[in-house]
Amino acid sequence: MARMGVFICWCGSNIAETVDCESVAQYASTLPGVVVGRSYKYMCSDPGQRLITDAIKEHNLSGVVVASCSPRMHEPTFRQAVATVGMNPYMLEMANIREHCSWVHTNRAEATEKAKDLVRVLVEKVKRNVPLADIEVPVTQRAMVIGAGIAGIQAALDVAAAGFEVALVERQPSIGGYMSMLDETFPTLDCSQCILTPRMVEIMQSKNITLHSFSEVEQVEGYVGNFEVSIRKKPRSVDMEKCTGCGDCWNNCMARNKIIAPSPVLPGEHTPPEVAEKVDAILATYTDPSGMVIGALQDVQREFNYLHPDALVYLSEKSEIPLARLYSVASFYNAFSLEPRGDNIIRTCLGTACHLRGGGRIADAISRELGIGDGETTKDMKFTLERVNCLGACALAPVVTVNNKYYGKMTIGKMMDVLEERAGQDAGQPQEQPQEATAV
Amino acid sequence: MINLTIDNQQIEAEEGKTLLAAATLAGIDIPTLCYHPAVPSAGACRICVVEITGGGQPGLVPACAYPVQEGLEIQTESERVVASRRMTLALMLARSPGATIIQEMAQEYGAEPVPMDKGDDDCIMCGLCVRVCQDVIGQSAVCFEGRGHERKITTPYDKQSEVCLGCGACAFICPTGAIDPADYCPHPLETIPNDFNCGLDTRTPIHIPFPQAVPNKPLIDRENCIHFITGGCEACKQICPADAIDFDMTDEYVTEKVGAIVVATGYELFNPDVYAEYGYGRYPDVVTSIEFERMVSASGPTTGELVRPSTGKPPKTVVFLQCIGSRREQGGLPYCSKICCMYTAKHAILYKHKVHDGQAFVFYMDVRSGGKNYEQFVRRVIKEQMATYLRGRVAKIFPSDGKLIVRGADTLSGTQVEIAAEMVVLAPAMVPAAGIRNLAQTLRIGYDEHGFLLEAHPKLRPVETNTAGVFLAGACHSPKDIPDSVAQASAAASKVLGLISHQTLTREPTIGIVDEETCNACFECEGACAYGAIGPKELKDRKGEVTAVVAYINEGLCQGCGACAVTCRSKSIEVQGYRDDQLFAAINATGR
Amino acid sequence: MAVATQLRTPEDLANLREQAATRRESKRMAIAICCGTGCRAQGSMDLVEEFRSRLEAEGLSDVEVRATGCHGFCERGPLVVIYPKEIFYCGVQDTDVADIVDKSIKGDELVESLLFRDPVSKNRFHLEHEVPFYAKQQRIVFRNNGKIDPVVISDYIAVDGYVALAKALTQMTPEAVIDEVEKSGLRGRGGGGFPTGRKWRICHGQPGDQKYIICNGDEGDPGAFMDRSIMEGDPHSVLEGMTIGAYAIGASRAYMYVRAEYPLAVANLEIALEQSRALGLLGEDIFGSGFSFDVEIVRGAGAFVCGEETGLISSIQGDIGSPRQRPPYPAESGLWDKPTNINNVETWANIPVIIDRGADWFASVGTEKSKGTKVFSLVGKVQNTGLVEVPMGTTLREIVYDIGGGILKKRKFKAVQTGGPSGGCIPEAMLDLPVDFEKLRDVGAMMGSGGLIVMDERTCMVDVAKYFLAFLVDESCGKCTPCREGLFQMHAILSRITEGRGREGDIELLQRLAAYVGESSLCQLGGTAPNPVLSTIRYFRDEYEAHIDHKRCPAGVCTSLVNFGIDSEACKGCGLCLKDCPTEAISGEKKAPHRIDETVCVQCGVCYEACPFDAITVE
Repeated sequence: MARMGVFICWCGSNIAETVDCESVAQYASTLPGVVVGRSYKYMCSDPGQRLITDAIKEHNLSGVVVASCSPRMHEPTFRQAVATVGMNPYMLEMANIREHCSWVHTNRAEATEKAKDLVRVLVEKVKRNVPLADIEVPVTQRAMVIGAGIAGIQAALDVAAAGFEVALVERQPSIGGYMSMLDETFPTLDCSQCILTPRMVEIMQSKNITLHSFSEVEQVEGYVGNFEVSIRKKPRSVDMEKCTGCGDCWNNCMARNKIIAPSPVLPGEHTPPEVAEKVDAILATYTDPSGMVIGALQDVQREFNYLHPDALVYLSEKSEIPLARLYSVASFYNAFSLEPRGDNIIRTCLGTACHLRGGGRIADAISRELGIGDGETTKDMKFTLERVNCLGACALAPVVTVNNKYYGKMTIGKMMDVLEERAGQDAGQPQEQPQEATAV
Repeated sequence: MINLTIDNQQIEAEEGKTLLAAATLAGIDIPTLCYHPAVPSAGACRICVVEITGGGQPGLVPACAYPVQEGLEIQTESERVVASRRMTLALMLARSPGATIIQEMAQEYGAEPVPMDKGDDDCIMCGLCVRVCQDVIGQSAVCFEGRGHERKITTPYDKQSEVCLGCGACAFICPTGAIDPADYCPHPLETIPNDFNCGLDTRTPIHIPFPQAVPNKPLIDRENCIHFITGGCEACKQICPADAIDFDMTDEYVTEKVGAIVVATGYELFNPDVYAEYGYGRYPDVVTSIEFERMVSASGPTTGELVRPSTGKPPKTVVFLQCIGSRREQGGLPYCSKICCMYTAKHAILYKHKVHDGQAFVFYMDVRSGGKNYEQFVRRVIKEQMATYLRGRVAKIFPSDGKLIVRGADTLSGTQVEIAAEMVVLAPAMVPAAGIRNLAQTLRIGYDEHGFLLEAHPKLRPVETNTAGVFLAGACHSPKDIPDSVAQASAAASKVLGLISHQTLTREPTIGIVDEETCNACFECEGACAYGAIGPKELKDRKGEVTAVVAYINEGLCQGCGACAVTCRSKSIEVQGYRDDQLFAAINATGR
Repeated sequence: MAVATQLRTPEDLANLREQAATRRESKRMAIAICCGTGCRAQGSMDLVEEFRSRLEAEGLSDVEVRATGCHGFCERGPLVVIYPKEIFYCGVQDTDVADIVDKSIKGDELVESLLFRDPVSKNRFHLEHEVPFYAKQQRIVFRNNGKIDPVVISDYIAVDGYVALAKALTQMTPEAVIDEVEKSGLRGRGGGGFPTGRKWRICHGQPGDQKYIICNGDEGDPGAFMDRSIMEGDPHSVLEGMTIGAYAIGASRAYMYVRAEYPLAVANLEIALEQSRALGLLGEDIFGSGFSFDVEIVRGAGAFVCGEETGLISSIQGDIGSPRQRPPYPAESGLWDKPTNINNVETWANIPVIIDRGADWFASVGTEKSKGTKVFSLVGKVQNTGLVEVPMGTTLREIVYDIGGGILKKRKFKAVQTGGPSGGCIPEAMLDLPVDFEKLRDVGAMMGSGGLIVMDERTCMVDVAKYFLAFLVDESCGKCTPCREGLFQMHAILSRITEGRGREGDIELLQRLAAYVGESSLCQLGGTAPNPVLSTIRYFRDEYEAHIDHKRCPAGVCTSLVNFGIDSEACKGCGLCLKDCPTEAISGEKKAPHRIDETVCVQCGVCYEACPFDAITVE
């Protein structure tokens, strides 16, 4: 059988002014299973507590209800008190007749009745209480500090100094926070970095601190004493183990500006269709793009009579060979022309044999006659003059070719005749023939 | 390993290394111009020629492109070598008389002026720009045009190159400074701001955050790294002597088990560009207090010389504006940022230290100098006339005649004032670090309307939070200066220690318990539990075989709320101390 | 072309040769018309047509008309040789065809006017081998040129073509082939003179499955065209040599790099490749030996520097032809970084003969260290220009005078330039020099690819040096400083000398620059570029001094230093000078002495060249 004790607290006048505490105590003693009912001015005071413990001993109580303030305030107080005399602390509960009653009511009679109700309810509950044992939860004896500015550094160092491990998580690649940016600090004007850096270095030196820099907390599970924190370590792209911090990489980093990634171009996007068609036909004759550059350029030149810029751009886009390389190649070799050429391409040989036999004079004479220099084209697009370094027909020196037709043992006079004849022909007529030498 | 002799010194070198690499390793210096370790060697400029005197075909060879060979005997400064370098420099000088590095080297080698045709092109045609663009960056924006003496560096058709990344590697690598990527790039070039110096100077994608950073190791800023944008450029990887560059690194997840957590995520500064009247972001001479800190710092972008961003000259008049964003109910933040009064006074002192004849003004609302020796500090500034304090707010800042006119009110004298300033320093409000709300939610701790984290009790538990085991330190909690932050950090540390110095922790037993006999493993309770305390548990027989799965309540996590108990259809969960029979008895006892 | 039966065995080849030879022999006569570029330029293709239609009209079906490769004597083209008698006609025009058919084909007479008349002795020669131009030649490389139609493979096979290949592939190991080539003493004909066998052995010894062969047909030396004639006139001999080489080295693929300026060579090579593939002489499992090989033609685009091996490789790879630093040598890391063996056209063309006739036979020709023959393109101020092939060790005098017929217009010999822009000028005192690799090098010249340019008293040696430097400045790739800047400055100095602005010390400065460019340049273009300057200074310093100290050009070439006049005594008033003068500076009545108006004269020198009476004077 339950042997309950009920103890009504006046809380000075806090409760007693509105609730007739003594009558509640009286009433409580009448409840079934209650063997003692008392009221007292301050139940939480030493004499108050002793009142309870003495009653427990005297009446061999099995449970206690204290009617007073909120259990938030003094439940630990009373539970510890009953434990001192051997009662299981969970056999004590509190009826809140202050916040729930005296403070919220003004009618003394009604409040007293309500207090009685509250006590009765609690008595019935506590009668059914069973002794409970506190739960012991194991504690992971490590700590985490999130953020490694001066506050985080200090907290981590303090915990580490006490001999416990700390995981220090910093979002930025370096610890130090704002304080590392400051010049001098008020009011003493000491140098911020000078007082901070030793702390930062200590972090690295401390055996108890694991630094996760450039890392962020992703997820936290668990509970006090047993947290599991998942940390995302962002990729630095530098192996911290191997890196010696020598500085070669950042001193030689090639990107000095923000990168403007070129927008992808669809091959032929800006190419006139007739140009694309011709270039496609040329490309179709090559299987291996790596070695085709010069051959393909020659074909393009034959097709357009010069290296048409649209064709070059399209060739680059289709073959994925950089335009710069094509341009470089096109401007490197003598055989290529980046400028439109005339109907008649005159090549004057300046090989040694031709030079000795006056090839240079013929070239000069053509220049004079047509008013164009080496590699230039007349305004009427009739003639282009190219000086070449040997046509390999040295026995016929001096040699000139016009659209690959060979003219051997040339003189200025003969040359002028040829020019006159060619000038008379219709424009756009005989473009340079790809095939071999023909007779004169 | 290959053995060879360089300058009569026996040297071991790895096969495949160049003479230059072997000599450099042995501490023998060979001059170079067209060489860069990250770029394939060309052997083009011929400055690095050395003489083979034995063990191979005798003659001059370029050290940068000639591989080490067993038994080679090399002289790096023989008469022949020096004569060759001298002539090379004389020829380069004839081509590029204006190139400083050529002038210097020519002087060093005593290259006498030879009667030659002179050019005026700083480009010595070494081709490093072309090679770096093609072979390292992988873009081929610049190229050679033509050949021989007519050769030049250009882009196809002399037009701006569509493939140019604007990276600037060409200019960086050019030994004579002859190339300007702005000529070739169709887009305006923009440098990468150095965050540590508030964007007042620049940095490269691979960088260390600042010189005394901890850890003092670099990282790659992937958003700006060519390799991560185009797949090209691996210069740093090429160059790293420790082979430490790893482009394949990805996010790595680690789990730390801890007993307690301290949150010390700090603060950021309110961005003052929302206030058009101050012109921040528009007028270069309007700066924030942290920018001012970097400008006066010896480790800053100007190595401590305070200059106007617009002119590079020291500002003769500086106006400091406090409470930018703070103490502003409308369009700002209602709270006081606490540290601005103090650091503005400090800034006035620092300014006077840098610019002795300078004139500083401070616009303030109140001077809040609570703290040890703080009031004396501010007094000193005012008394020693380091700054003129004006009580009032600034209405407008506008540029005029190379200066900034600061128009504001002096409420003490009741007049409007206008100051022609050369620099204006704004003291923006402190705000919690970005992302603080997410972190707070992850940790299940509270925060206020501004994002500052909530303590468990403003008076009695200022470093604890409502979640047991999570503590606060520093400005994540509220605006704080350094000593306050450090003090709170130590306080948090002691709280942590109080918790983790014990092997166990006592908790009240009023938690849910499962009747494993009747539990039918529906796990409705698991969904009902707000604390994630419920999970499955396998019941095993003596042989260790699983006989049943039942709900299990984690004692550490359970808060005894009882949600599981009311959810449980088989009535297999009860909360200790709050069993159904107790509660029914209590309800019955109400008697009504 | 009809689908040919593949030749699977040496016997198949022997059978085909038998058929081809029988067909050739079945004809009573053959008219071989030279259709090399030189003769074509003078109308030989029209001759072919004319002969064919004439013979058809006459019903002479037992006479074959053969369009052959270059006969060498381009000077006198078009050339026609009538076999089997070897009647040699030169300067034949289509109007002569009827006469030739009537007299020499149908009858047994000679057309006297078309026979070669020696300009020195005035003797007429009617047989090819009697013509002095050919008499002292020994034709190994040119063995088939002029005898076969280059676009008819059976012609080549009829003259024992591809026998050497069959022998190498079916009877010899690769090592044995290399041994044979090494034993023959053959040295690279491209200029360097590196022993071919040794080169092959190095490449053969390299690890790796994929190796390449390159035939360097980028005959860039100005004044040289022997490779062109071989490629045009006997392409199969080059292909056969390459196939044998590939077998020896262990390469399965080859590139043939041909100058863009040689369209006929490209065309004939392409035909030859197609024919060889059709007969299984290229492709898979050649002669059932398990050896497979094919060749691709790459057209060059006009860059002298591509004659340099690494430049050539870069060009084939589709890049600018800039050489790179060696080592690694192409034999270790060449085309697409694979072991690569490069030989020039003439070298390859020697190979079949060596295999066919044996190393000992080959080694019996030539000097102690230089074996075999060398083809020279004998050009310049010499009577008989053309291609000549002589045994190594033949003296320059024999070449210039006995074969070349001496100097044009009986002017005075001044020098012979060998080795192209990398070579040097050899003065008269050294004309008795037996030509081989070492001897030429010792006198400051070099073999080069075989250009042999004769210069007379009207050649200015400073101008020649300037000419070569201008060529090299133009052809320098521009990669390395010494070549790009050094040659440019040397050219500038030579220019100022030839323009009368030379200063004291310029010769020494030239020599210093030359020494520097020679030893500091990246590749052999720069390495040998100073040779023309150094050798002209060495042998003709007085001409330099005349330009610098006395501001005059003794040869009358440097226009700034020359004033032309007309010797009224010598002038016959023929009007040739007047006709050619581009600025109409010359005036005068027919048959009366002419005058030059100095205010209009641009000193171009046309009159000086044109005057048949040496009446133009130089001051």
